[in-house]
Amino acid sequence: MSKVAIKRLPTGVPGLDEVLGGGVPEFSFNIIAGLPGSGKTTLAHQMMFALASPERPAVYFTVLGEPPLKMLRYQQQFDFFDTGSVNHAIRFVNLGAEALAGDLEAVLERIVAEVHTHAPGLVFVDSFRSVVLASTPASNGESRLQHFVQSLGMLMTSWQATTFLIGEYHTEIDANPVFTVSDGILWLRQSERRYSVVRNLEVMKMRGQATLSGLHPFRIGQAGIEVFPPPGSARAVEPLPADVMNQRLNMGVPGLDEMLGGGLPRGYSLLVAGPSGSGKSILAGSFLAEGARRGEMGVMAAFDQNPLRSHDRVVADLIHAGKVVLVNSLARDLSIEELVSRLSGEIYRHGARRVVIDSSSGFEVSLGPAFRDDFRESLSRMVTALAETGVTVLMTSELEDRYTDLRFSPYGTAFMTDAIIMQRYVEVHSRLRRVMAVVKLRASPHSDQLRLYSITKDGIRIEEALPEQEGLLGGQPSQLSRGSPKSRPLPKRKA
Amino acid sequence: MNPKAADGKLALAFNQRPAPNSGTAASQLTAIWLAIDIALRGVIGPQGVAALYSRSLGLTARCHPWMAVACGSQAAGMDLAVLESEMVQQPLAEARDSAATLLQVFEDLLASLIGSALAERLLRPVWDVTPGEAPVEEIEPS
Repeated sequence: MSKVAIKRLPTGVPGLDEVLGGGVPEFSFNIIAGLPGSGKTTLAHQMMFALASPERPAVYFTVLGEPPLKMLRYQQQFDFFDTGSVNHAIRFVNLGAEALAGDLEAVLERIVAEVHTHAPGLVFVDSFRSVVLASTPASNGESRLQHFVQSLGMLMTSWQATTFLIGEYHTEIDANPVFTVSDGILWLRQSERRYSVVRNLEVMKMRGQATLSGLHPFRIGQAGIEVFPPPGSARAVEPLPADVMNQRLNMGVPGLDEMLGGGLPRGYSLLVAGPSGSGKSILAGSFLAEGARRGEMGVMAAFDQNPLRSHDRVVADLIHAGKVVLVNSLARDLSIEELVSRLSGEIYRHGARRVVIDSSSGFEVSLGPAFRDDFRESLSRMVTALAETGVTVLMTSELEDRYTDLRFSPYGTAFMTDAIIMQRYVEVHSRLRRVMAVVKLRASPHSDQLRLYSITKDGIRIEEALPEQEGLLGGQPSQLSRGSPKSRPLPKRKA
Repeated sequence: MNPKAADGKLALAFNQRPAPNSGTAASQLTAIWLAIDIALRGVIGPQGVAALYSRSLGLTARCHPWMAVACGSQAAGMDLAVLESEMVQQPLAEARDSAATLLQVFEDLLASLIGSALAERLLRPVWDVTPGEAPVEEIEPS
């Protein structure tokens, strides 16, 4: 005797199958719940248009609430709405008259009659809750609702129809009675925080399969709903041969590879920390340009400035040449899940090897207020998730230039990257100079020199170290006198 | 909404049917409305169809004022008997012209709400019916 194998239907909603643990179980009886405007009807339509076929037709029952004409008017604005499927693979049936008459049995009978006639493999009832509540005193509404849902559930399962009931719910407590009856519950929520509203999806229940718990951000766009599963479920790019993986990446800045002990090990994450104007983005651009020279695609997430509008044309030219893909976000309600999903999508699509995030500070500003509390954790998850795709990541971090402490990120996140390059301003002979050092390179020897560098029209030029000066990072540099270990203080800067 | 030339599929379906007098024309118009009702009520509900019917009558009455009478009796739904009885009293040319305009206005109204592609898709069973045949629901492709 073999166990029954439950077929899982791909929902056609990007990211949702991952959250569901493989798709919607065939013949399951599901509830899509949430507040008005939370995207329930859109989710139902998107799944229906993806799943319905002449072999597995769908019937979409509209009850009360949104008039069907309006629903059809607005739903067809989404790319997934295929007019050609209507009255073939998809049939809309309005039950408004039966529901308004208050006869629940008549509603049920009509559903059964339509199911008999069209033998659908998919059934949607929108909104099932209004069927009952419109006709029932509040006191026994929920018990009638449970009875209605129970009857419908039994019928649909024996009819081998995968069913979705769409219902307006404000709190989980309201839905308790129907929890028991359903095989799956998808809850759509909206959380408001200051100026942003974040949409979240939760799989509260899905019998027989391991779902991803928690709230999963989603966005409704022209193509419909896209769910962003947690970072870590990113697809790996095609792995490079072992001998290539063991090679080091050239940074595209003469002299920097030597400071890194021969280049940046492939698959590493590198934090470039420095104050405003120190050339972090220029270094990032050189890193991408060097990749392009070697036939390696790059992906760039730009939060601070749009590279296409920058005076520095290096990255813009790479983007126009199709050698770098820009993930540009002007949204102010971004979630870490969405960013990782978009990045890993581009990495996968183009087989990219180099990724730049410019900058982590700008990224923090782009995050929705609801996500900012967990920024440190978010950043850590992003770096881990990107590392799992096998790419090499360069992330810049804006750093206030302080002379009293040596920090590499304002968030205490420096530990999570494999390598750190620090850039600082120093005063040497009454000139504001830039210095750069490799602070950290996991499991590899590297230079410990503090090197002067200039920003030229060709990019960053690494110059000499300053062996005759010390205390540069402390704000009171002093010059070592020749032949003497004792130092003489340089004149103090005027405030 | 200004009625355009009555060259839509519903108006053509009506015009293709020969009508020697206003009575025949009125019966044919009623048959088409019944077919429209069957095609649409399942999708948008009888109230939805009645609302579109009423709105179409109201718009057409601007050019064909006699239709206002039928329009006025819309509260309970589509009252085709009133429309038919009023139309019978019109000269044949006016009856045919106004009926074609009404169907055109209705088709345009539906298309403005749900798009011409979906409107055509939903109304296809109406104009797929050959003259004299009873309207039937579209047969599922096998």
